[in-house]
Parts: sequence; structure tokens; C-alpha cells
Amino acid sequence: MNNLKKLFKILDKWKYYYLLAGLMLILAMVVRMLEPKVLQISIDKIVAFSQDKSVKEIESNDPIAQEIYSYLPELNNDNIGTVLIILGVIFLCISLLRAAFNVSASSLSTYSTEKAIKKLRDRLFSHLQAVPIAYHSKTPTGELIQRCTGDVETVRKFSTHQVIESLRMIAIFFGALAMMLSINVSYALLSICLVPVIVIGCIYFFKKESAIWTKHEAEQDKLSIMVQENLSGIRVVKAFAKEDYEIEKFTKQNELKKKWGLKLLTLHSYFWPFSDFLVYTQMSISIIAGGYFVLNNQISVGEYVAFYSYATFVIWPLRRVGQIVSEMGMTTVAINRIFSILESETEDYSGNLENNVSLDGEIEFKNVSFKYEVESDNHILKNVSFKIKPGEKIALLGPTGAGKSSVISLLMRFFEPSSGEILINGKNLNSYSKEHLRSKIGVVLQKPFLFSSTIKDNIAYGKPDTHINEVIDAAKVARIHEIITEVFPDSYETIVGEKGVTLSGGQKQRVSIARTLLMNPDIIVFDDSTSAIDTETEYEIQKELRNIMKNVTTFIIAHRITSIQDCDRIIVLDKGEIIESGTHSELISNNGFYKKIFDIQVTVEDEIQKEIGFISDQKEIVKNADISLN
Amino acid sequence: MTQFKDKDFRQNTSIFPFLKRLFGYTKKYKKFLISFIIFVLLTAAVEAVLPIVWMKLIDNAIVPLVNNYFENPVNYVPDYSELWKYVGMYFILGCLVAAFVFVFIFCAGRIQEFVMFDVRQDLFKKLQKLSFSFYDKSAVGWLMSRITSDSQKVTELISWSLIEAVWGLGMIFFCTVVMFVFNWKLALIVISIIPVLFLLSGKIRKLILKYSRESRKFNSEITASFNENISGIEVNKSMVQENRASSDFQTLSEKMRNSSFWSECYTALYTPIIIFGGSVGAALVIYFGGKMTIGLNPEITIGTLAAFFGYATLIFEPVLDISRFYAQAQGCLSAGERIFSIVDLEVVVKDKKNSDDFDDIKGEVEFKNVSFYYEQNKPVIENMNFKISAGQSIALVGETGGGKSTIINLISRFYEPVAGQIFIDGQDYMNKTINSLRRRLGIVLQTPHLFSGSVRDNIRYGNENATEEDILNALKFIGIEEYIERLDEEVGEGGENLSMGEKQLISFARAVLANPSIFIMDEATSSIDTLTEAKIQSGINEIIKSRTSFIIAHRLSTIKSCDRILVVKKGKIIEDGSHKELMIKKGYYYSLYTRQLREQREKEILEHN
Repeated sequence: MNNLKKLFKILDKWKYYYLLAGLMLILAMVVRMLEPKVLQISIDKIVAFSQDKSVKEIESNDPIAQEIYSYLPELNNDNIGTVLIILGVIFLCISLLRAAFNVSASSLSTYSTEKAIKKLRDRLFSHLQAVPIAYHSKTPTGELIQRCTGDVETVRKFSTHQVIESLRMIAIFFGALAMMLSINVSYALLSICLVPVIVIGCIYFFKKESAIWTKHEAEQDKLSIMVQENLSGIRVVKAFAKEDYEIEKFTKQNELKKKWGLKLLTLHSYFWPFSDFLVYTQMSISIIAGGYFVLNNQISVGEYVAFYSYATFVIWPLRRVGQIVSEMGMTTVAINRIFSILESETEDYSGNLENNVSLDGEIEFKNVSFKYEVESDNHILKNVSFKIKPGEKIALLGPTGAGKSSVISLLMRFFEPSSGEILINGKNLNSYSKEHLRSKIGVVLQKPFLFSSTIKDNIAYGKPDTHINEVIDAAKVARIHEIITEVFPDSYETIVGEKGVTLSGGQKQRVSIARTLLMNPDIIVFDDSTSAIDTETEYEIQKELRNIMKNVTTFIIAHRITSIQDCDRIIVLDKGEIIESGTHSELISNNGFYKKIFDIQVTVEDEIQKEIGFISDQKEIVKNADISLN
Repeated sequence: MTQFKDKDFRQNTSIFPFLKRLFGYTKKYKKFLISFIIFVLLTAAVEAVLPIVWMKLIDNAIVPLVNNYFENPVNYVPDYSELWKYVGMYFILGCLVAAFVFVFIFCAGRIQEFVMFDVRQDLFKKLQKLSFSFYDKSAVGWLMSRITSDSQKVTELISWSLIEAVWGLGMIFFCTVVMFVFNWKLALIVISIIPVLFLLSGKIRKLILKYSRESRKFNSEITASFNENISGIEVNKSMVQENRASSDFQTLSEKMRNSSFWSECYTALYTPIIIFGGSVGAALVIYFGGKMTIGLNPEITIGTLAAFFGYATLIFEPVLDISRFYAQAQGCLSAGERIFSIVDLEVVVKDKKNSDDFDDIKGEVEFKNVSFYYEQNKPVIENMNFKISAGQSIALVGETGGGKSTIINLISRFYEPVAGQIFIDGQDYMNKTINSLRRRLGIVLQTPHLFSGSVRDNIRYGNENATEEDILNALKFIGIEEYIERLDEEVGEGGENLSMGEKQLISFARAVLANPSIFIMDEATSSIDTLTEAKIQSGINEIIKSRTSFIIAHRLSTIKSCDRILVVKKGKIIEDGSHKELMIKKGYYYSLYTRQLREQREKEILEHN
């Protein structure tokens, strides 16, 4: 019931269209029920005609038959042709109506399903854009995509086809049953006496089938995993010349899959003949019973023939009950998985400050602590406090896992501090809306992500309407312009990403820098974003940046000390705490962690000089020895 | 990548060569296929005859008696014997149908499973033979769907879909025969409807196909869009582009909705229209057939009329079935082409005719004017010459893309030189078998790949015949005895339960167990904790001590421990010598070493503070 509610939620306002579709189906059913009637009347007319040419009217207590009779002229030798033409036309009209109602029912359901599914897809998409980053880091991408595509498709198929099919089946079942009952009650009951057996049999079968199906799928999955492993490790396979071994392993699993496949099919090969048998038995019962009724003159020959058709309508579709039930089960699972996404909480974007407030003010961290899980003792940041003046250039340095990136995540409000507060211009960060905040803080990510689109679109990602000249300017600063124009086949219109040109790590980082620059942010963050760029290029980029970003507050997270030496202030973090802070020269004189790193440069050179010197000395000795030997 | 052109797969190719090839797979299962076809046809025959029984029942068991009653109601005594006779016949035929259905489902099921098995075997075997150059440009996921979904699709065509097609053909044939036997005029009326139905069916099918192709295309775009915007969520959020991404997506999903709607709509139209076509036939039967039953010498009986009416309303079904088969065959065409395109691929690296095995390999390796390229104007290795004496350890150093990996791939004969020769122990390896070479190689790849199973299974991968003692010795040899305790641990899919360093160590043990004459290694670049790194280093030292080794080295300690260093740049060896020699030279190697040493020291402080 709960699931039905969810399905209705998905179908949204379009669910009322289904009511209309249902109505159409009922009309189609009614019309269909008339079809055998026409045959019945034709036959009765003919029978009557051949028995006694004087019989003009046939007694019938069937209101529908009477209604049709009223359209027919009196029967005599001359107009039998006309009567038959009229009957043929009535039959055609009925068929046409039936087709029209069926088509409109299906179109209605298709129309509303497609509308509803489109809305569902859109909702899923924007919901996934709106959930916090933490949600994405917890949920594997593949799983989300499976739900948004595969599961949505399951629901779509179910509500396009199965809903209508089952409604149609139910309508026809009851319609035909009513028709049979109207002809003769006991005959009707005899004609459906095996129905419960057939239905129960079908449901039982599909239960059993789904158990074997699950096992079969499990073996199939194992086979897929085996192939996946083999193909991704094909170099190992070949390196060890294990092709034959792998083939043997695959064959075994393939056999196993075949075994379960055959089991499944054997089950089917028992079920379908069995249900065929039941249906034929039911039909035989119905025919023999009808024969007795006709011969005892309780029903007419025409009614007998019509009855045969109705019995067929009722019984054959029953075999599909099991299938519908099992598909309903699958759809339920899909619906639940879709809702698990839609019911997850989205980010709160609101803030109480105007959206045009500039951010280039002071940034202050006041005793900020942070951990991912509320219950966890694992602090990522502990009591971090610092204050930054507008336009300052700040470096964050420290070992991996020291909390450098978390400082930025908090500033962007991807996460909230567990205690303490962050202030910009003296106002709590939460008073700025996330939208405003993020559009004013430009982050260059360490692992830049490019979209499968043109290089221009990627650079202009934050501001799609930017003029190409601005894009080029940004690309020039990021030292990627030459590569784009000289190396890429279609210059700025080159498609990059999965379907296009693959960029190296350094190139991607440069595109990412250009992209962020174009946003014209008040605060810019380089999150270890030059790691794949060679030192000379990095230097050039920094020189350019210095010119254009004089008043922009800059954060640099770096591993290379060369890239942060000229920062206004360097904050050294370790295990979530600030251990040192100051200018380059202050930290050098401080003789701490920073000094240690700085000294490496010198010590390494010494080390190498010593090594070479030692070797050269030895060489000299050897040379001298050689000479002396000579 | 040429293999990703799914979308523009030829739409107008004839399906017959494909079907012919596909049916080739059933040759081995002839008896199933034949009995399958026979029994489907028998089923159709019985089902075509059943209405006749019904007709005869009316004509012989009902109408005469009813007429008797009307003529003489007083003396009327119902006689049920005829009725029972015909119902008995009906029932027996029904049971026959059930029996036939059993046989053909049984056979069709076997054909499906057996052929699927064979197709998958063929594909997998081929994939094991194909060379590295094939894998360099084929995505694993793409290949996977050939083995899993495409093979299933194609085999379902020649089992379940074939049932429908054969049944449909049989049904049309037998119905035609039966109808002609009873009344050729009415038969002609009913049959004249069939071509019209096929024509209609073809027209609508085409429309359905057009829109369903379109919607499939949009569907994959939707999947791609989800993938991209979920993977790139950080960018979207930090640049506040969530809403734009969503509205872009809405444009796409609207396109999808449109084509999906039309494809479903035509599908919905399809059956009712065809059924209506059948009804036109039925109406004609009422008119003409009705006329024939009247008069002093009626041409047909009432039962015949009822039977023909039945045929007319049923004939649409075989038409639907046959055209469904055709549509499915077309749908499978591209799946089939993809499968056969793999099966037909030529294996590039394979044993030459008359090649013989290497006896034992001592480990001398020589490159003589070796060149290698994919495209002629972009040489990867250019006229390379060097000679390594047995037992020497070589570090290959240089920029990524310079040709280091190609060198070890050439030695392992994953690729073959385009020009020049490679000699192992003085013999051109092209005249020898591939397996006898690879069995003497021990290769450790940059990203160590393990297979699901226990640690023991994975180590034993290097040598199936190894005893427990051999495994222990291998572990001891590289100094990781503690893994003895962990031999039964499951490594998980692709080794996911283990860390990178652990995987690396196990892949060492795997290589050592093979007791190779030539050890080849692409050193992992990813960071590994100090303890494991030390273990890996001592492992490497042990392995390279006694045999010819080629290592693409990233760690300074590894480079220094090798006897000889080859610096590779743009497909050429630019420096060649020992660490000391190259340091004194103060060339490329010197600056590389200096830079790396500095970075390493920086990292050491940052990581181990």
C-alpha cells in the first residue's frame, strides 16, 4: 500500500489521466463483449431462417441482443443480404470503436507515464545536485546512476505496459464473466471452475521461478565478474602465459551458468504445457456443458458460439497473472530505491544577507574544530584560529591528512564546523547564502574534472555567456592558450573528456585554473592544483596571477615549498592543529618544521656534490693508478 | 576508437548473412533445432485444426438436433454421443498441444543455453589470444557487454523469437490449407487480408524503430549526463552551477520524453490497428459466409461460418509474431556484428610457423636496430640498440611516454618490433614460441592485479604445480614470511581487500614462484607506507640479484641498486651507464636524480613528521 502511494507520488498530477485511461479500457472491454454477440445473432438468424422461413422474430430475453435486433429489418427471402451487410457493418463499427478505445487508453497512459517519468528524472537530477557533498562521498556513483537510469526504466515500463495490461485483463475478465452470467448462470460457473487452480498454479510457478532465477542471476553475475577480472588483468594473464588456465576457469563457470539456465528453462518447459493442459481441460468442460444446455434447448446455438468466445477471453490471459505479480515485485524494489534518493536531505542554501555583499574582507577562523561524524573522536581540525586581511596571500602547508583541504571545505560550507565559528567581514559565514559564497570563492581543485564538451565551454563553465575573448585571456594567464590553439585539432571548439581529446594532468589543472579565474572571485584557492605542472610553467602562471589578482585573497595549498615562498603568510598545519604561522623569513628564523623543509634544498645539493666528488676522487685515484701502472 | 561507433551501425544491412552465421552455431545441436521446428509446426497445425473440431461439433452434434427439436418438439430426445465424441477429440488435441509445447520449450531452451555457451566460449577464447595492442584501445566495459548482454540477446533470437516466427509461419500455412479445404472462396477473402496486415505492420514497425533508436540514443546521453554531473559534483557546487546543470538536463530529458513517447505510442497503436485489420476480414466473412449458409443448398454450414469467423479474427496473431521476429532480428543485428567482429579479429602477436620452444633461457637480451610504432610518422621506439648480458639488472629511467613501457612490452613480446630484431640468448625470438618465452619471464606490473580467491591462489598463479614449500620459500626469498599466516585470506575482487603495497608484495611472490630467468617490473608510483616500501625494496634487491632484470624505476633506491641505467627519451636511449658514471656525466640523469632526491626528502618530512 505504501508502495502504491509512492508510485502515485511519482505519477504526480498525471495519475488522474490513468483514471481516464481506465475508463477507456472499460469502454473498450464493453465494446469487445459485443463482438461475439454479433456472431451469435448472425448464427441465430441463419438458424432460424433455415428452420422456418416464417419465423420473423427470434425470442430473446437478452437485452443487448434485443437492442441489436432492433436495428435489423424484418427477415425475409429478399433482404437476407441487407441483414448480413448491416451485421457486418455493426461488427466493423464495434471493432473500430474497440481499437479506438484501446489506442486512446494506451496513449493516455503512455503520455502521462512519459510526463511523470521525465519529471522524476529531473527531480532525481536536481536532487542529486542539491544534496551535500558528504552524500556523494558516501554513495558510489555507479549505484546512483543505476537507480536513476535502470530503476527509473523499470518503473516506466511497469506503468506504461503492466498497469494498462492488468487493468485490461481485469476488465475483460469481469466483462466476459458478466456476459456469460447473463446468458446462463450455471453454465458460466462451470466455465470458470478451474480458474482458481490456474491462478494459484501461476503464482506458485512464478514464486518458484524467481527463486531459481535469483540463483541463475547469481551465477551469471559471477561469470561477469570473472570476465571483468580477466579482462582488466589480461596483461597479467599474458605475462604468466595463463591463457589456457583462464579459459578452463571460464569454461567451468560458463558450464555452471548453463546448468542453472537449463534448470530455469526446464521449469518453464513443465509449466507452460501444464497451464495449456489446464486451459484445454477448462475449455472442454465448458464445451460439453454448453452442449448439454443447447441440446436441452436452454440456450441458442448462437449463444453457445458466443459463449465459447467469452470463455476464451476469460481463460487465456489468466496465465499472465504470475508474470505480472513478479514484475510488480521488481517494480516495488525499484520504487523503494528511487525514493531512498529522493528522501535524502538536501543542502540548505539560504542566508540572511543580501547577495551583493562583497566578500573581500577579513576572514577569521575562531576556535574552529571539525569532524566528519558527530560521534567520532577523530578530529580533522582542532581549535584552529587565524585571521586574514583582504588581499593577503596565504599558504597552507603540512603533511597529507593535516586538515588543509578541510579548511577550504569549511570556508565553502561543504561541511559545517563542529564547534567554533568562521567569520567573513565580521559576520558569521552562515549569514551568507551558499550560492553567493561559492560564487565568490574560486577553488582550483587538485584533481580537476572536465566535462565532455568543448574546451571553451569548460573554461567558461562558471559563466556560460562569457565572450570568447575573455576565455582566451583566462587561458593565456593559465598558460594553456598556446596548447589549445597549436595542439588541439579544433582550437577552442575541441571536445575534451571521455568522448574527445584526453588531456594530461597538467593540462587539466591549467584549464581548471583558467576556469576559476574567469569566475572573477573575491577569494581564490589553489588546492594543490599545480602538482602536475612543471616548475617553470608554474612560475610563469604565478607571475601573471600576481599582476591580475592584487586585491584577491589567495589561499595556496601546496606540497612544493618553492611555490609558496613569497606568500604573505604561511600557516603550517599538522594533525588538525596550527603548529607554525608567519612569513617565510619568520618561519626560517623559527627553526621549526618549515625550516626543515626549506633546508632540504641545500642538504640535497650538498649530498649530491659529496657523492660526485667522492666518485670523481676515486676516479682520479684509479686514473692515477692506471697512469702509474703504465 | 573505432569500436565505439555503436550509434551509426549500419541500419540498412541485410539481416540474412547475420542470421546464416548465427544459425551456424546450431549445427552442433541439429537434433534439437529440427525437433524444435517440427514440434512448433505440429503445435501450429493442431491449433489450426482446433476450430474445425469446434465447427464439426456445431454442425454434427448440435445443429441437426436443434433442428429436430424445432421440427418436432414433442418427440425430441437429446443425443449426447456426438457431442462427447467431438469434445473428446478437442480435449485430446488440447493435450497434444500441451505435449508439443513441452518438447519445443525443452528444445528451444537447450538451443539457447548451448549456443549462448558456445558464443561466450568463442568470444572468451578469442579475447585470451588477442594482443596488447587490441586491449590498448578497447574499454573493458565495452568488451564485457559483448560477452554478457550481446550474446544473450542474439541467442534469444534463435530460441524464443524463433518459436514465434516458426509458429506464425506454420499457423498461416495450416490455416490456409484448412480454409482452402473447406471453402476456397472464403479462404481467399481471409487470406487477402494477410498481405495488407504485413504491409501495415512493416510501416508501423519502421516508425517504432526510428523513435526507439532515437530514445536509446538519448537514454545513453542521460546516463552520461548523470555520470558526469555526479562525478563532477564538486565543480558544480563550487562554481554554483547546480541549477544550470539541472536545466541543461531538463532539455535533454524532454527530448528523451518526446522520442520515448512516440515510440511507445506507435507501439500502442500497433496491435489494435493490426487487430482491426483482422476484423475487416471477419466482417467480410460474416457477409459472404452468411450468404453462403442460406438457401436451399447452402454452400457452407453454420459451423464453417463460425470457424472462418474464428480464423479471420485470429490471423492477425501470426502476422504480429512474424514481424516481431523480423524486428528483433534487426535489433540484434548490431549486437551480432559486434560479436562476430571480435571473433573474426586477426591475432597480431602469434607463433610463427615452424617456431620451436626456448630450452632454458640464461637471460641475455639484445636489441638490434629495433623500431616500433603504431602510426608510421609517430615512432615510439626508433632504431634502438643495446645488449644486456645474462644476470645484469637494468633500470629504465625517463619521462612518461618516452618509450620505457614499450621496451619491456617488446621484451615480453606483448608487441613485436616493426623493424629490427630482438635476440634472447642470441636467438631471434620471432622464431620461438611465445609461451616458452613467457614462462621464463617474471613480470610485475605497475598496478598489481590480483584475482578473486585466496592469497595462496594468487601466488600460485605464477606456477600451478608449486608445492606449499615452494610458496613458503618464495615468501622467505623476498623477506615477507609473515604472509604465511595470511595465505588463506580472501583478496576480494581484483584484490580490493588489500592495500596497494600488499598487492605489490604478493605479485612479487607470484613472480618469484615462476622462477624466471628474466625479471621485468614496472615499479608502482603510488605512495606506500614506509614499512611496506622498505619491504618492497629488499624484495626487489633479492629478486634482481641473481637474474637479468628490467625495471622501470621511480624510486631512487631502486635505480641505484641496479647495475646499469638506461635513460630513455622520445624512443631513444640518451644515456647508458651505472649510477656513478651517469652522475659524473652531469647530464639528463643527473638533473632528474637531483630533482627527485629533493622531492623525496620533502615528502619524507611532510609524511613522517
